[in-house]
Amino acid sequence: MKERGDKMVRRSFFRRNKKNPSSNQKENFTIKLGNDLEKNLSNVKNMLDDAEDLIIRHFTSGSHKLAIVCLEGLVDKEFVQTHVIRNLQETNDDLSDPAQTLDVFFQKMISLTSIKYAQSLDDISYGLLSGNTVLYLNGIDQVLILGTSGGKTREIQEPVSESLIRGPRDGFVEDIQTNISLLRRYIRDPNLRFKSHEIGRRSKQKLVVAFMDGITDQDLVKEVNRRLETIDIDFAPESGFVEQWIEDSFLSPFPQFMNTERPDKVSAALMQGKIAILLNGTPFVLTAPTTLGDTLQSPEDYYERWSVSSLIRILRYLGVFISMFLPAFYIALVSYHQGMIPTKLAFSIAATREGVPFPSFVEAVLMGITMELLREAGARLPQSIGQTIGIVGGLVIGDAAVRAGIVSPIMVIVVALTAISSFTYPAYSVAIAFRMLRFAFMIAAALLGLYGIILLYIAIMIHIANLKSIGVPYSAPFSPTFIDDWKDLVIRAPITLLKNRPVTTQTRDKVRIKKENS
Amino acid sequence: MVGSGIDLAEEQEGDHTKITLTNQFVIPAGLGTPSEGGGADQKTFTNLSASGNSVFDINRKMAKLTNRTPFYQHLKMIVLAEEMVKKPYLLEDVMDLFIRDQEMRRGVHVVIAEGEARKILDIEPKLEKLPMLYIESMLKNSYKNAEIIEEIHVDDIHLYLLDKKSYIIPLITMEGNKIAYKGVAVFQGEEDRMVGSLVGDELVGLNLVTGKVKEGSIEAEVEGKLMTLEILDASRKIKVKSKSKEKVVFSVDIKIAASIAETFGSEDFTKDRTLKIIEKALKEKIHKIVNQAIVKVKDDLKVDAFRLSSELYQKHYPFWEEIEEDWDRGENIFSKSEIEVKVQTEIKNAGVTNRTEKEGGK
Repeated sequence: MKERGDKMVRRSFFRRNKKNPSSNQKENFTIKLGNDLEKNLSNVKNMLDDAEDLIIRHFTSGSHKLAIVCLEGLVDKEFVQTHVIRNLQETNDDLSDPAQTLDVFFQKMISLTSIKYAQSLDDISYGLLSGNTVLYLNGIDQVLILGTSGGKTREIQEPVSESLIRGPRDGFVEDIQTNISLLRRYIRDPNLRFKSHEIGRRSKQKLVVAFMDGITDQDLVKEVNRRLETIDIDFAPESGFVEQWIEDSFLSPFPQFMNTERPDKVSAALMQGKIAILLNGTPFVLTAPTTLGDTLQSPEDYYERWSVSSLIRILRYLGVFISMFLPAFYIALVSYHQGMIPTKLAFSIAATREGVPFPSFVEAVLMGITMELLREAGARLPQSIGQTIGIVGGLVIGDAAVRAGIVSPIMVIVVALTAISSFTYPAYSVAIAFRMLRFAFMIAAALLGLYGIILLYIAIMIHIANLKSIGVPYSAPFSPTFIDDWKDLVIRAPITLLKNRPVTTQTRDKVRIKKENS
Repeated sequence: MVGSGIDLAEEQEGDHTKITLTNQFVIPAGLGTPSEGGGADQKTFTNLSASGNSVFDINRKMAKLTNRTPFYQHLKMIVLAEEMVKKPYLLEDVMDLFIRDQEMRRGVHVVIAEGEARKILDIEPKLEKLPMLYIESMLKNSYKNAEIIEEIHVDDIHLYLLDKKSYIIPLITMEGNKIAYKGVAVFQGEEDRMVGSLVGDELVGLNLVTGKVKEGSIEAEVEGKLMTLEILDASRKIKVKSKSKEKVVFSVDIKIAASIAETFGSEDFTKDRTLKIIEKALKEKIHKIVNQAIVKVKDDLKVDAFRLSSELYQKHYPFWEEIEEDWDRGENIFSKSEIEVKVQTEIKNAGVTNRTEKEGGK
């Protein structure tokens, strides 16, 4: 009975909340401005509920009463003082007509690069919240919105999530303008286009789609813009929201967008005919379309000499296979196909497994989960404590588990090798996908042995063949087969041989190197 | 399970020949891991024997005797007792399961044991932890010695059983409580029974005729002094000189390149004449060895262990078809045929010294 009573109360609470008229009122900002300064100011005050960070400064210029409104922290105060207030206070022009006065302010007095007229409270609120300053003049129903946004943003730093030995050290920051300028600095081509969107019904964040006009397939740009327009979300703090909203298949374990903090990676992607999506508030930029091959490439592959890069790429592919199949393969061999193990190894595996009470699958899952726990703990902990996780995990758990007879030493080797291999992925989001699949493969191996592994492998291959990243096959250029693109896939051919842009992205300008090198 | 030994059962009853199967089970804990080295006091293997009518039947019986089921995928060696394989058709019968079953590997070694197979499985070798692995690696030494033939595997046996030609299988024996390579057991292809064995120089002779010698050493007497020569390369060519139902004449050309491995005398090997003398001595020695083998095989065993029949089969097929039934069985044309041997020898090098001092020194 009591429980039911609780429910009733809760329900009525919701109902009351729904009926509350004040919640809807605040979204209605289309009120036009009046002529009276005080009334206009009180409108703004009401809108922001007299917020603490709202600054209203009254002053006069000649015979006119003025006020500037801004939000503390979002504006560059110094800038407002030197280029707006001082100029206006020192003026001697004395015009009687407020409209004319505002015009003079616009034309002569205010020395700012960005300035515009506004009439509705809606525009004013957007301006204020973007860090602009609003200039009110008594006696006119217009205001000037001054581009004074500033405040503190992060410095450009080396990306933490993707470290390279050789390559540019700059990384994107949270501020989108800085990020755009970074890209402009890499590609000084007037054809670098930025199409902006606004997402977040309430947060009103700036989102920019970058592409190279004349290189990128127009249909690709259209499709991305179409998808971006469908986004209806109140708030998107990170580009992950955008990615998950517009990706082709949300059930797939594979990421269909690459995310990166590196401007060099993004600009290289743009030059390959891909598009980039920048969102204000996050240093992570999305690039698409993405193929399976892309996920295993690192910008460093191009910075090092080709033979080294090719070998490293082959190593990375090997790493993928090891990290995905090794535990499953071990389970399959030990529990189904003992005959496939070389005799002497079979004996020593059998000897070490003698005291272990669990079947190899349980053993592998146990160690696999431990490994994931360690990794997750290491990632979440502050860096100074994170170090200890390695010691606890590596020495205590690994060694002690073997001594206690819970797992066999060979299993520890398998898990360690798997973990090391999975750290070779250049992209974290892909690493997660393969980590998940590893457990699926382990289950398949436990149920059906090698046969199960192959079945699941085929199933995943079918899925990959089916998967698309904004319409581009995920398995390209393996299938559909673009032999020309294989020069830059598992191996990375010498730069001088990479004459054309990838076929996969269907670029409009196909030629990268014009001169005949023969 | 790494090895199986098959003997004739001690108690025979009924029409069917009863056999005793001995399986060697590995105790992995006894082997230990490479780092731990294994418990020295712990046995590394255990042997189980049971008797019955068929191998399969005995295997099922064995499940009642142990907590481990026989697992054949790691089987390394099948040891067959000499006594048993001397009985006609029995080899075929006992090998059937090893050939037929899908759990069996084609690469399992097959050897014949002098005496009881069970005892071979029981030895405790010094260098390996498992007797079967010990024998296996022993058989693989064949490339270093002309007195050993290449290992014979189950797939070879399969082949031998299917055609009616004669064949040879390695023969091992117990010397005290050690295992030694004795020679080969010669099988008659018709009834698949062992008719005899070739050991020592007889086997070298056989290997020279069949062209299986790759390396090995030969001792020759040069001017009264013993000299050991290492065979570097040996090849042979067989030709059928004349063929009739009464007599087939083969000619065997053996070419041998050797180097001087050890000398007990002193010679100046830079001199051509010295080398000529050595070459001649070697030639004579090889003649002797080969002829000795031919006599033994042809007159004693009367079974074509040289597999000269394949020469006829490949190059003189119509003739072979005629005499096939009477080759080394029936009228036994093989034992009436003649084998002419020609030997060419060459000393390729004398080692890294070209002069040895006279006895006693100067």
